[in-house]
Amino acid sequence: MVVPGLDVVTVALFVGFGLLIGVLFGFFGMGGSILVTPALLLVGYPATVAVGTGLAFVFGTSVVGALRHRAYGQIDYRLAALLTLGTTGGIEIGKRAVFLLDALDSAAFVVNAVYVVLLGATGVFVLWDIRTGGTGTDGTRADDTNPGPHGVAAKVQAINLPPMVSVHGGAAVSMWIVLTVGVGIGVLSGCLGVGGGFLLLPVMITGFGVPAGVAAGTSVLQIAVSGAFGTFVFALSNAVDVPAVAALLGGSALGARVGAGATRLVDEADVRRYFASVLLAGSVAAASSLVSHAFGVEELNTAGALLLFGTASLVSAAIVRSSVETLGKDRERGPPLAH
Amino acid sequence: MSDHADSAAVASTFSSVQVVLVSVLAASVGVVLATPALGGYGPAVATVAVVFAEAIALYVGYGVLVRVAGPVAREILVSD
Repeated sequence: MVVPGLDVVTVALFVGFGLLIGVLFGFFGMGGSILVTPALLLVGYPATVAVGTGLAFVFGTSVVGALRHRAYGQIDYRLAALLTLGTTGGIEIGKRAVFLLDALDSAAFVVNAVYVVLLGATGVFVLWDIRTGGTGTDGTRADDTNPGPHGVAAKVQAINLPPMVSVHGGAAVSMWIVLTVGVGIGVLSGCLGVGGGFLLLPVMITGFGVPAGVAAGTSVLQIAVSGAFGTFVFALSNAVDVPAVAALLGGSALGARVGAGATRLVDEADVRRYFASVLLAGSVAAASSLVSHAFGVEELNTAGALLLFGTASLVSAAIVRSSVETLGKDRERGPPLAH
Repeated sequence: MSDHADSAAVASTFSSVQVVLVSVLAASVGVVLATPALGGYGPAVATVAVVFAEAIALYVGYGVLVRVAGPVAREILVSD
C-alpha cells in the first residue's frame, strides 16, 4: 500500500509506531498522542505540522475511544460542553502561540523543551505513584474511609464563584473553574498536539469529585470534539499531514485493541514501571532532538529516535509476550469459564 | 444456544458494518459536494471528515477482523 505523499518506508514506520503506541497506551486506556508529536519532530517535521498532525491523531483515537465508551453511557454532558467551550478557545490561543514561535524560528525548540519537561515529569510521577502505592480508581487511597469531598476536591468545591455547575458525583463546581481548566488544557493541546486526558482525568476525579468512569467518558467525548476543532484550525493553515495521520491511526487502532485485550491477561502493576521508562525515554529523545538542532549534531537526533522507538518496541513486546504466556498457562489449566 | 448467540453477534456485526459503510459513504459524498460551497474552509472540513471516516472505518474493520481472526491468532500464538 502506498499512501500519497509518503514513501513506503515512512508509511511502514508510521504504521509500526502507531501499532506500538496503540498496544502501550491501549493497555493503560490512553490515546498515546503524548508520544506522537515528539516522534514527528524527531523525524524532521516542522513544529506547526507536527502539532497539527498530533491533534488530528488525537481526534481519530478519541473518536474510537468515544465509540467504545458509548455503550456505558457514562458521560457528564454539561461538564463536557463547558470543558469543550474552554478547550476550543485554548486551542486557538495555543495554535496562535505555535505559529508566532514558528515565525520567530523557535517553535521546534520550545515545543521540544516543553515535551522534555512534560514527558519527564509524567514518567517520574508514574514511578513515584508506584513507589507510594498509588491511588484508587476514584482518586482516593485504600485507607481513605471519610465520606464526602476532602483534600483538593473539598478546596475546589469550596470556591463559591457563581454560577455553580452540578456534576456527576453530587458536587457543585464553579463554571469559571471548569472553563479555566478547559482553556488551560486547550492551550496545551494547541501548543503540543496532545489531547490532555492525562491532565483532565486527574483534575475531574481529584478536583471536581467526578467518579472515575464518568470522568473517562466525559474526557474522551470532550477530547473528540476539541480534537476535531484543533484538526480544523490547523488544517486551515495547511498544518496537518493527512497521510501521516492515516498511517499512524491504521497502526494504533489495531494496537489499541491488542493493548486493551492484554489488560485481562497482564497485571497492570507489572507493566507500569516499563510504561514510565517509555515516557522517560521520550523525554530523553526530545532532549536529544533539542541539543541536536541547537548544536547541529545529527547523530544525537538519530540516537533519540532509536531510543524512543526501541523502548516503545521493547515494552509493547513485553506486554504481548506476557499476554501470550498467560494464555498458554490458562490453556494448560483447562478451558476458561464462559462469560 | 451458543450457535444462536454467535449468529446474533455476527448479524449485529454485519448490521453495524452496513450502517457504518453507508454513513462513511454518505459523509464522503457530502464532503465532496459541500467542499466547493465552503470556500476557504472546504479543505479543512474535508481533513476533519477524512480523519473521522478513517477512525470509524478502522473501528469497525478491526472489530470484524479481531472477531474473525482473533481465535485463530490466539490458537497459533498459544500453540507455539
